[in-house]
Amino acid sequence: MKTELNRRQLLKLSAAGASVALTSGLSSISVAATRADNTLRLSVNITPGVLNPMLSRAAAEYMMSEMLYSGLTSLGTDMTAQPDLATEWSSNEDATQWRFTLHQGVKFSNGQELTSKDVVASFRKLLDPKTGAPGRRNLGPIKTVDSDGDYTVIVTTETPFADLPVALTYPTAKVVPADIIATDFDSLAQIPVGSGPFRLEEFRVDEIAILVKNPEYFVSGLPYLNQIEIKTFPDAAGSTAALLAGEIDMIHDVQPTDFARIDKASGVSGLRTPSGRFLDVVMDTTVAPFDNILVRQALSYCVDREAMIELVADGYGTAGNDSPINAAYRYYADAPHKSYDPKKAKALLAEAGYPNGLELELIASVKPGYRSTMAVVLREMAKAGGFDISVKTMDHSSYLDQVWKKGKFYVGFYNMMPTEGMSFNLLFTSGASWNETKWNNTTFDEYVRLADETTDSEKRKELYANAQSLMQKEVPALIPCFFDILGAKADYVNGYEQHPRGASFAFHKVWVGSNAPANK
Amino acid sequence: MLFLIKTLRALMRNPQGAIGTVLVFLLLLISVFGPFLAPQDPESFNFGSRFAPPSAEFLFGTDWFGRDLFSRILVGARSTVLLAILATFIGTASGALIGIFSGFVGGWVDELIMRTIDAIMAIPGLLLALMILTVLGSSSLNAVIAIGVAFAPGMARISRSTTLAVRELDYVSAARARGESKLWIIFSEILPNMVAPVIVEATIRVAFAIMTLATLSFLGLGAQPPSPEWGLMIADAREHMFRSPWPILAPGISIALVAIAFNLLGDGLRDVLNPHSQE
Repeated sequence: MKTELNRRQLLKLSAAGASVALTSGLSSISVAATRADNTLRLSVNITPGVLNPMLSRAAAEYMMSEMLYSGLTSLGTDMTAQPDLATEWSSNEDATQWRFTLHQGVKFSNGQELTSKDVVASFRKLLDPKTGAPGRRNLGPIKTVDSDGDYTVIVTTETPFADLPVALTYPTAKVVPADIIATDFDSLAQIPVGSGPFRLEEFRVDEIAILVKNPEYFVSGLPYLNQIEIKTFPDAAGSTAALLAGEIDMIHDVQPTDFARIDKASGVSGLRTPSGRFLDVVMDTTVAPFDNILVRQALSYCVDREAMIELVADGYGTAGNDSPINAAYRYYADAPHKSYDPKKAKALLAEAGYPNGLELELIASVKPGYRSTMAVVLREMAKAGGFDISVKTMDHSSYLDQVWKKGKFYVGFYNMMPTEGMSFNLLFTSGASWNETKWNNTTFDEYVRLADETTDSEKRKELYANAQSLMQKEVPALIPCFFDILGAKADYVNGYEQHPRGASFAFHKVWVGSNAPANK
Repeated sequence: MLFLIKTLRALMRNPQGAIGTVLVFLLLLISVFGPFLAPQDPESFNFGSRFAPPSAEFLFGTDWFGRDLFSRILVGARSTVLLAILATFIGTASGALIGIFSGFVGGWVDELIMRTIDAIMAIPGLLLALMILTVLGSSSLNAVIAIGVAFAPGMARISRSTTLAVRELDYVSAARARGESKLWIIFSEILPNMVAPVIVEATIRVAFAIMTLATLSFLGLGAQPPSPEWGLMIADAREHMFRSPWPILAPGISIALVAIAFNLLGDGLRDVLNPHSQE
C-alpha cells in the first residue's frame, strides 16, 4: 500500500493552528492526480434506512449523515474533538459553560446561511425527549444552549463536564436549518438539507446512495472526491468478490473470515484497527431467570474468552471481561479475565434454583454474520455449565423492530464510544438511551456520574475502574470479546484513515488516485 | 400390493428407475438410522482440528468449529429428507383433492377454484413460502407447511386436467348412469386412474422441496443453527469457503445427490406408469 501524499499527517503537524488557516493553505498544495471521474465506490453491508441525521442508528446511516451534515465538532482518530462547524471553543474554570465560535459563511444545501440560531434549534431538538434521538443522553448533562450573536453558541451544563466537545461529536448531533425543525422536521427523512461535504443525488434503499461533491463546502479545497456511490451488498462474499474484481474501490466492513484473503490479494489492502467494538449477550435483568444474579454469573463462567476470539472473531479481536471497556480506552481497568469454569457455573445455577439446568432461547440477528456464530459458540460452551441454549436467527430489520431493546436474551452489537462515560451512558446506566438490560444499579450510576463530572484524571480512573469491576461482578450483559475494525480498500484509494470508533469516516479527505483503472 | 410389486419390478428393469430406486432406498435408510450411525456428536467442537481435510478420523473433514462433517451429514439427513417428503406429501394431497373436486364438479365452482389458484400461482413459490413463514415465524416445521402450501396450486392444476380427461371416459359415464354418488365416483373411479401422473409429479417435486427447504434454511427462515440441516450448513459454510471447501462440498454434494435420486426415480416411474410406454 502506498499513499501518494498524506495530507492528514500534514494536518497533524500543524494541528495547533486553526483549521481555517490550514485548509486555505491546503488548496495551494498541488492536489495529486486523480482518476478522471474521481468517484469512490464503497460497499456497506447494511443499507442506510434512516435519512434523518438526528434519528440515525447504524454505521451506514452515520456515514451518510456525516457526508450530508456537519456537527459542532468532529472526532479525531485519537478520540479528541476536532473543529467542524466550530472553529474554536473554550470553557470557564469548572467546565460548566462553553463558548463555541462558528465558521462564518457556511451554507446549507438549500442556500440558507448557517448561523448560531440553527445550531441552537438543532441541539434543542436533539435534547427534546419527544424527538427520540438516539444518544440524546450521550451529549452530556446539557442545561441550556443559547446563541450570542450570529456566530457564537453558548452551552451550559448542569454539572462540570470536561468531555463536552468530545460528547458533541456524537453521530446524531448534526445541525439542520432552524426553520425546517420548526415547520417540517419529518421532511428530513426524505430530503436532506445540510452543510456537509457532499449532497445527496440519488437514494434507493437496499441498493445505492449516490452523493456528489458540495461545491460550497465551507472547508475550501475539500472534498477531493467528485462523487461517492454507497452500494449495499447484503452478502459479504459478494462484496469481497466485487472488490477483488475492481467493481468497487472499498469495503467499509469486512468480516473476520474474509480478512486474511483480502489482505493477501494484490492491489488491495486490508485495514485493521484495534477497537472497543463488541458483541454482547444482553439479558433483561428484570425478568426471570435473569433477575437472579446467580444465573447471570453462572453464564459468565461458561465462556472460554480466548477461544471465543478465535472462533468468533477469527483472532482479530481482544478478550472482554463483561464490561464495555477494553484496552482501546483511556481508563481501562486491567483485571484478570474470568476463567472458563463450567463446574462453578453448574454450582451457581443449582444455587439459583436450577439444579437440573436451564433452557433458554438466544436470539441473534443475521447481520453481521458473527452474531449467530457467537450464539452457536456460546450454546456449545454453556452446555457443560448446565445451560441448554437454543439459537434463533432473525433477519436484521425484524430484529431491530421486534427484539432489540425488547427481547430478554439476545446478541447485541455496539461500536466503540469516544469515552468510557459515553459507553456506560449509552447502554448500562439507569438513564441510558438504550437501557436494554434494565440493570438500573444506583451504585453504578453514581460511579459513572461522578467520573463524568470530575476533571481529575486520577479520580476518574478510580471511579471508572469501580464501574467496570461492578459490571464484572453483576454481569448485566455478557461481553466475551471485542472486535478489531476491519475494512479493505484498493491501493489507489488515498487519504482514508480507519477510525477505531467505527462511526466516523472523513470521506471528504479521500481521493481516488490516477493509477486507478477506469471506472466502467 | 400387487400393483406395488409390479411397479417395483418394472422400475428395476428401467435403468433410470433402478438407480433412482436404489439411491432413494439408501437415503431413506440413512434418514432413519443416520443419528445412530454418526461416529461423533454433530455439535461438539474439536478445537484442535478446525478445517481438517477428509481423513480416517473425519471422513468428510471438519468445519470451522472442528465439527465432524460426516456426522453432521448423517444426522442432518433426517431433517432434510424426511421433512422434504412430508412437505411434498402435504402439497400433493391437498393439491390433488382440490384439483379432482374442482375438475369433477365443473361449472362455476371449478371456475372459482381455478381462478383463485391462478391468483396464488402468480406469486412465485419461494416468495409465497417466504410470506407464509413471515406470518408463522421461522422454524423447520413451519417451513414444511409453507412449502406444502406453495406446492398445492401446481398439484391442483395437474390433477384437475387429468380429472377432466378421465371424467369423460366411458366407465365414468357408466358409473353415472348407474346412479352412483359423486363421492363414490371421485374416490373409486377417478382417483385410481389419475394416481400415476400425480405420483410421478410428486416424486420429482421432492427434489424441489429439498432444494426449497435448503433455500429457506439458507435464508435463515427454516432450520436454526447449529442444526445440521444441509441447506443451513451450506449457508453457514459460505463465509469460510475460501479457507476450506469441505464444509460447503459435503452438504452441497449431498443435496445434489438427493435431488438426482428423486429425479431419476420420478423419470423411471413416469416411464413405468405411463400406459403408452408399456408393451
